[in-house]
Amino acid sequence: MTLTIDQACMRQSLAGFFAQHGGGLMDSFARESALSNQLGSGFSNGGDKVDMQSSTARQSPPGIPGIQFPAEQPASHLDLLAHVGRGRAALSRLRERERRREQRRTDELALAWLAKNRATYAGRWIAVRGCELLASGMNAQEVYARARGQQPAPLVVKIESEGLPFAGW
Amino acid sequence: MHTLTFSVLRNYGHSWSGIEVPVTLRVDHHRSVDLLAKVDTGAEFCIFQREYADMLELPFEAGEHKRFATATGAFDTRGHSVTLSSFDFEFESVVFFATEVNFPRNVLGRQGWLDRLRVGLVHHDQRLYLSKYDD
Repeated sequence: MTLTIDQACMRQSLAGFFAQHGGGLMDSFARESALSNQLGSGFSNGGDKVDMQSSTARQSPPGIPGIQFPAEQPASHLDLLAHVGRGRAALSRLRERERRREQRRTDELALAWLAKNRATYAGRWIAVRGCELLASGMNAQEVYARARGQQPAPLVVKIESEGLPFAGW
Repeated sequence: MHTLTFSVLRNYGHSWSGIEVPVTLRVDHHRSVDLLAKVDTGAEFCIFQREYADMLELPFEAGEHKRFATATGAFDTRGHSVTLSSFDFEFESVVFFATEVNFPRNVLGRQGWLDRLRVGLVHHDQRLYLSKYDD
């Protein structure tokens, strides 16, 4: 059985991805697409079909799992998809880096909040995100349940009572 | 003269006691918790409060049993494999959770954390420098 994919649909889907995740790459995509049209790869022709399970199919480029193109397709076609794959990976790394940066900033605020308010909550479990106390109580699970799934993630800690200096184990 | 370079600088001046580091323990995409742990060069392993194992819904009793000695006694733990993240670093580690509820400490010890990093400490300025071991 041969499966086919409508190139116009695929292009629309990719364009949607770029519109959502990266305006700059959308421009790049448009340039690649225009070049592809000039080279006559058929990418501009919405009615063209791509054979996904051709016996002569090449391996898909990295980042586009499950899609294969016939060997006779012009190289520019594969270049575009490889470009999309690299763009997607780069965006993913950027998002993760930004998430970690935001998490660190939030944690620093939470630590400053803890330094000021520690005595008030001594002996209790608390969930704190930035300068915001999300929950406090004696039951760790109940506190965690109110903090779970939030982003940036809150710190969930038990506030130690101020006592004797710790001598290590 | 020796020179080391680091990718992360953390000022731990806000910490009430010890050199505290924000840490994420994660089992999968849906089960994770953020907490504070103390850097402890004297601890052989990373050890956390029992309550965190419960938050992560780990099968606690199925973990490897290990007993740790202290200057004044000993305590029991169970070991589980988790993803341990702090700052920009993330690695798979076997960490231990105290059997006793209300255990008072979370520590990042030599195996599972210190052995994955290069660490610089200037306690006078309350500064902790970190890089991946092989960066």
